[in-house]
Amino acid sequence: MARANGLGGYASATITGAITRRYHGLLIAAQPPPLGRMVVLEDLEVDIELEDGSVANMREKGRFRDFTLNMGLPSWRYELDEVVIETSIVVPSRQNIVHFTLRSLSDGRRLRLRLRPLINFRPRGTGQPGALIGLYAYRPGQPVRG
Amino acid sequence: MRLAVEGSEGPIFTADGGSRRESFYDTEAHRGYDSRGWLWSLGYFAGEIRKDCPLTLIAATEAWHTV
Repeated sequence: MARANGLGGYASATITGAITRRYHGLLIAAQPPPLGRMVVLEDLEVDIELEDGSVANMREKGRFRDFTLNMGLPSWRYELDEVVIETSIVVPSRQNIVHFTLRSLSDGRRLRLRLRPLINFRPRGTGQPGALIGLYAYRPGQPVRG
Repeated sequence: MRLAVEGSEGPIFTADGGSRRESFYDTEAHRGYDSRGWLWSLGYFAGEIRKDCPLTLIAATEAWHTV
């Protein structure tokens, strides 16, 4: 599955949602030369806090139910602890942006999730990013709404 | 890269110090290509979902005003 943004960037994964190729990722951004296509958000780890207080990884413990394309928009469904969770991806046209949405398809239950972005700034298809990881840092900020 | 979460009732970000983990690319390994790499995690966002109340993570390399 791949959704392109029209700039050369895209989101891509397997039908089960797994990342199995170097060029897979949730946000491969098209950057100006000399960078080119860069894998920036490779994956998103989704953990679910269960009613008994334990935490389960959605992809490891959940049962993959299906993959659908609805008007070209991909979505995956997983079942865990008697709850069906749908994840979907939207890649806005001509923007290096991805929206990754999770929703419950089951009535009644509130689910508490932990979303852990897995990041790696590297050229698409290459694999020597580890040396840079020690240089990564984060800075809190605020989206601008207007 | 810029990250934001929308939906739920006050999603919370927890910075847990940053961690590095090894990644494995299954199909690359089957084809005999280099199949290991490294990923970095800065922490996690926590939030709730329920029916009709989704949670969306937004990742972008665009400026905040575009996000």
